[in-house]
Formats: sequence, structure tokens, C-alpha cells
Amino acid sequence: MIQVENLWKRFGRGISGNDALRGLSFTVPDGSAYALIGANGAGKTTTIKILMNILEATRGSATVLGVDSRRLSPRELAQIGYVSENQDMPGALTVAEYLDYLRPFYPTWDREREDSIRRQLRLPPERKIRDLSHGMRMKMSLACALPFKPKLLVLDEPFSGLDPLVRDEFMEELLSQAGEMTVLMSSHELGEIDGVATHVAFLDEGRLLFEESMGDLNARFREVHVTLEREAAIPGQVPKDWLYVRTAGSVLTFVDARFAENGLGERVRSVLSGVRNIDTEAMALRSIFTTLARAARAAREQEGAL
Amino acid sequence: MIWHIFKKDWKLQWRFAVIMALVQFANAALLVKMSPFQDNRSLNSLMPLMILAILAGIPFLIAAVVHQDAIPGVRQDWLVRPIRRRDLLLAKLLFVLIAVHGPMLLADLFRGLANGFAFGPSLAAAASHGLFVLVAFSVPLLAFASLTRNFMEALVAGFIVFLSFVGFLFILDQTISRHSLVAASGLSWIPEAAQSVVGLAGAAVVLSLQYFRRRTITARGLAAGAVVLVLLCAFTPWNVAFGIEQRMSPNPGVASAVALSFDPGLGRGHRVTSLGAVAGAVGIYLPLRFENLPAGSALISDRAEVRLRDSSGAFTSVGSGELSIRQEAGEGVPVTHLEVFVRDDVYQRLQDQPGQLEISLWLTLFRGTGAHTIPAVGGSASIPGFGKCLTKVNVAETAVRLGCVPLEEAPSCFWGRLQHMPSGRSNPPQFQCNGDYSPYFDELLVMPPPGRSLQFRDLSGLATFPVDGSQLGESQIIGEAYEPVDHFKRAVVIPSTRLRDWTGE
Repeated sequence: MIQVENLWKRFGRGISGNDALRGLSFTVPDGSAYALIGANGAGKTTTIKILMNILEATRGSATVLGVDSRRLSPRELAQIGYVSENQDMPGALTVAEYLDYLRPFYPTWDREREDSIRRQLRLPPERKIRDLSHGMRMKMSLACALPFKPKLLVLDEPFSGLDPLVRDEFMEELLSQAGEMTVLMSSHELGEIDGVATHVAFLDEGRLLFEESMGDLNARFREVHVTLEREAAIPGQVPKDWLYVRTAGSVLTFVDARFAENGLGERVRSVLSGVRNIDTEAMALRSIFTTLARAARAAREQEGAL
Repeated sequence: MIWHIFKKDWKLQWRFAVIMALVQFANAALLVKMSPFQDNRSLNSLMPLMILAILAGIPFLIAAVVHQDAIPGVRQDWLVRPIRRRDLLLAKLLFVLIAVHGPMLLADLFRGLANGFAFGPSLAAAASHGLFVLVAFSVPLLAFASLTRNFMEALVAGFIVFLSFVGFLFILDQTISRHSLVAASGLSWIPEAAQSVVGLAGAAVVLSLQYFRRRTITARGLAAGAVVLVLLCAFTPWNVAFGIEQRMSPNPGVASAVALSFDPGLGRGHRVTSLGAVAGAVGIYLPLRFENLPAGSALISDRAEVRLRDSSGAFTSVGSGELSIRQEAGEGVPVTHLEVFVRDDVYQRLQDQPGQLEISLWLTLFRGTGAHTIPAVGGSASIPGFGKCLTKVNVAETAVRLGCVPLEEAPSCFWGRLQHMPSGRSNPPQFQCNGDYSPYFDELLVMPPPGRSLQFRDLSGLATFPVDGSQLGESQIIGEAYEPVDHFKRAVVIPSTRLRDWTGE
């Protein structure tokens, strides 16, 4: 559905320029709910804007629905729903007027679906768009993106600034309409994608740290607590899959990034002597990302030091 | 989808569009009401406000509709919608045509009909004016607006462009003689047409770049380049412009027999003390004789340059001058003085230097379109070339005013005299000529036409007129419009002379 190859984006020129994207590559499979995760400034919105042909990449390529994103035509755009917190709609039009305006552009627009979505989201048709609250505008954006049953739904920070009630209404509507569509969403809030995303990619300062299906991600990360017979100390040679290694008394704790039930004891004992007990604990998504972010930062600092 | 997008824009901008349409109609009504004499001070004072409202309001309206779906920026909703860029551009153009040019056409048509012209000519004049404004003003404005994302940006950018123009004109005024500029002559339409062509071409490129490729930085650079080119058009070389004008002469070669010569017998000219006097300059008056001018024709100089050649053969520019003359039917060979303004410092340096004066003249021959008469007081008639005309005596009761309303532009040259019909006596004829050879109406706004005055009384009592106020009831104005027929060059040499010998008396 989406393929990104070595994507670079530089804003500004010369020394003052800034590389917002640094060689990003990833693939969004058909039918997936793909989440781009990262802190503010990681490059999520820039990536999405390049995919939507709003921005032009400095280098690299991106294909969306099989078409180079720089050549997206009305035919492809008629199959893409886009929801963003940074979307300027004509404020002087009412909700109904803007929906009336958009309808003829989409050959697959379903009027009944539009009415149903608008009712579900409780959007007042006579209200001018400029008079809508932030949450209502996000709902409006969603109401404009779903009635034509897009093949691809792009959500750029869709939950930013939404109160929990509106967020739930938004998600409820989104999930009820999702069907076969592929969803690409960006967020800096892990809780927002938990239970929604099937795939996740983690961006940090314009680089992709990893992309993986949620199932694989949950399966391969475990927090491991090793109880030793003596005071624990961090070994000189730590396997590269062991992240965020720390000690407390006789317990050494780390995050195993290549967890496998079989052979764990053997692998631990090959690094540590005097192992008395090994406990493993499944990790929440938030903990996995925090660990990965720390590891990435440490690696960069190490590179910088060298 | 063009109409669909237009309807959305109309829904958002109809109030402003209606206001601008009303302003345009009010302006047309004001012009009708003011014409032809512009006597009503209250109405006269409204005119600048109307001009300001139109000149500010139309760009604002065009910018507003473009900014509904702005091109620069990354947040506009239309960017992610399946809207054809071509449709978007054509919808904006359609809006300009309907919301700006529609009312303009109707207002011009109304003005023509209200002034008593027939529907066909009125519509043709309105359409030609609208086409000029579209090409020279609206499309470039549309392109300019497409380079900005909101009104504030457009305002700042517009102010910068305006300052560039003002600064450029100031520098031009300080560094280059007005007389050497095509823009200051009847040939001014040539650089202006070049500016319109450059502006339109620049606008077309900018609109293509913006609407089809969204290359705002490149388009802004190109727009800046186009502005510079437009400014440079003011420097169209004189000989190039005059060559074009010569090729476009309605009757080329008609003036080939016209000969100019130095006529010292005419003596020194009279110093001009008010009109035509130039501060910091000395006037010299060179007597010239004009032979083989067709009867009833007139001649004006588009440019006249005078150089002094000293004994060593070196040339020094003396100054620029101007003249106009008419060959009265049945009269002898006309003579007149070429009035040359010499800068004080140049005159002080050259006044006693003997040498040869060389005069280069670029001239235009005019032919009368036929004389017409109208009663001197309370007259009302349609005069070809002038339009619908009325006459009345001025407030000071010193002159008869002839006010005419043309469909487009008033003819650039007028000849007229006041004649007492029973006796056949007439006052000295007046010939006024401001050369403008534009083959089309090239004004953004229709302005009130100039009035003509034919004097019959001198308040100081120094001059007396054959036809005075007591005979006005039986008098007529005999007037004639003049059209250019040929453009040509001549050179006159005055051997062994000094500037001092030709200063005004």
C-alpha cells in the first residue's frame, strides 16, 4: 500500500538547514493499521506530508497506492482519507456546506454513510467550521475522510489535544468504519495506538529505529530479572540484545530484545555466573519504546563520543 | 468541477463581490453625473474615493478568492482532496471574470448607454476596456496572489512591489531627462504594451508553476524577475519605439514632402513666463519654417533634441524642446519657434560659445477628421471623435466651455474656434495636442474627459476678441478632432550661431 525508500527531507539550506528525515525506509502492508511512533520532531508529520504530496522529499522515493507520491492525481486522492490536527478547512462554511462541497469530488461518496458518521460524531450541520472546538474539528476532519470508503486512511496525530470522551467517540467511529481499509497513523502517545495498530514503526530524529508487527514486538521483548548469589554488577561484555541493564542488590535487570523462552537460562548463564533465579515479565508497549529510545540515545552518544 | 469550485468561492465571497460591483456601478454613475463639465464639487470630491475603492478593492477581492485555496503552505485542506489543479485555476479565473469583470462590463455598458451612445458601440468599448484590464491588471494580480498564503502576506509583498516602483520612478526622474523617455511621449503605449506582455507572460508562468507544480520559491523568483523586466520596459530605446510607431503609421509616407528649415526672419521668440516654464532652465526659441504641410493638417514634435557643435567638431547636448503647429487652409507657409529648455548651468557654459546648432526632430503629422459645429451656449451635439458634447459659458464669463464625453478616450488633438455666424467673424483658433498614439484604450480606469475652453473676454482688458460675450447667442464653436497619420524624422542645422541670440524676449 505504501512503500518508502531512503527518504530524506532537509528544511533550510547550509549550516542552518535541518535534516528532518534521514534515509527513512518502511513498508505499510495492505490492510494493516500502521503506526508511526516518535517524539515531537521525530519526522512523523513530515513523512506523512511527503506521502500525501504536500511536501517534496529532498531524496528518496515513496509510493502510495502504487503511484509515486509526487505524482498523486485526483484518482488516487479520491481513495485516500486524510485526517490531521493541522488541517485548514474553510472556516466560513458550515459543516453541511463543506460536506456538500466535497461530495462531488469523490465518485464513491456514500451519502447515507456521511449522514450516519455525522450523526455518530454529533457534528452540528449548521455550525460554521470556524466555530467548532478543536475536538469537533478533528471529528469534522474524520467525517470528511470516511464517507467515500477510502482504501487508505492517513491519520496525522489524530488524538492530539482531544479529551478522553471525544477520543473514544473518534476511535469508536474509526474502528466501526475501518473495514478493509489500510490505516497509517502517527502519534507520540503510545496509549493511543495500543489495541489499534497492527504494525508499528519507531522514528527518532528522522531515523527509523525499527518497524515490526505488534505481535512480534510483544513477543520478542521481555524484562528479565536475574537473581545472583552475590552483589550484582554489570558485566564488562553485555550482549547487544540486552538493553537497559541495571542492578539493585543481588538482582540484575535488563530488557531482552530477542526473547525466546527456550535457551534463556543458558544464554544468561553464559554471561553471568552464580545465577540463582531468572524471572521474565511481559512488557507494556510504553516500556518497550522507552527502552528503545534510551538505547538509541545511548548509541548516538557513544557514536558522538567516538 | 470548475463551476462547483466557483460556487463555493461565491458562497464565501459574494458579499464582497456585490460591494465591489456596487462600487463599480456607483463610479460609472458618478462619471455620467459629472460629465461633461465636472462642476459639482461634492461629486468631484467623491471621485478620488471611488478610484481608491476600486484600485484597492479589486486586488483585495482577487486575493481573497485565491487565498480560499492558497497555494503556498502545507495545511490547506484542498491539497489532500481529489481536485484537479487545472479546475482550481480555471475556477479562480472564472470568479475574476464573473465577480470583477462582469460588473465592470455592465458598468461600462451602462455608462456608454447613459451618455447616449448606441448599444453596439457601448458594448464594444466596454468589452475592449475589460479585456485590457484583464490582461494588464487582473491576471497578473491573480498570479501575484497565488504567491502568497494570506492577505497579510499579499499586503506586505504588494507594498514591497509598490515601493520598488516608486523608488524606481524616483531614480528615473532624478537621473534621466523626461524628454529622452518614451514613457513621457505619445509613444508611451509601446513600453506600456511591452509591460503588459511581460506581465501577462510572467503571470502565465507563475500560475502554471503554482497551480500545477506548487513551486512557490521558484515562482516568487520568477515574479521578481518579471517585475524587474516590467520596470526595464520603461527604458525602451527611443529609436526602437519610434520605428515601431512609424511602421504602424495609418498613412506612411504622407509626410515625406514636409520640409523643415531654419527661418531667422521670424526673429526671437517670446519668453514663456507661466505655462511651459521650467524651474532652473532658460528657454531658447529657434525659429523654424514648415513647408509642404497638407492644408488643415497639424504637426507636433514627439521629441526634439538640440546639440551644439563647436569649432573642434565636438558635440554638447543643449536641451530638449517641443513644438506644435497647424497649417490653416488658405494661409501661407507656417512658421513657429521650437521652444527649448536649457539647464541653467548648461546655458551659462554655452551661451556665448559660437557653433552650429543641430536639431533632431521626431514628428507626427495629424489630419483633421472634419469640422463640426455646435452652438456656443447651451449647445448639445454628437461630434465624431469627441462623443456627446455640451457647451456653456464658464463662471467667470470669460470663455465658452466645450465638454464632451467620449466612449473611451478623448482624441489627443483638438482644434477649435469661436465664430459669430451672421458676420463670419471668429476668434483666434486654438489647437491643443497631447500626443497619444495608443491603438487601443489602455487605461485601467475611465476618467472624466478633459474640458476645452475658447476664450472670448480678457479680464485684464489687454486683449480684445472679435467675437465677444454679446455675440455668443449667435455664435458657434467650430471644432475638429485630429488623428495621427504619419510619424517621421527631420534634422535642421543652424550654422554659426550662439545660444544667447535665441533667448526669449
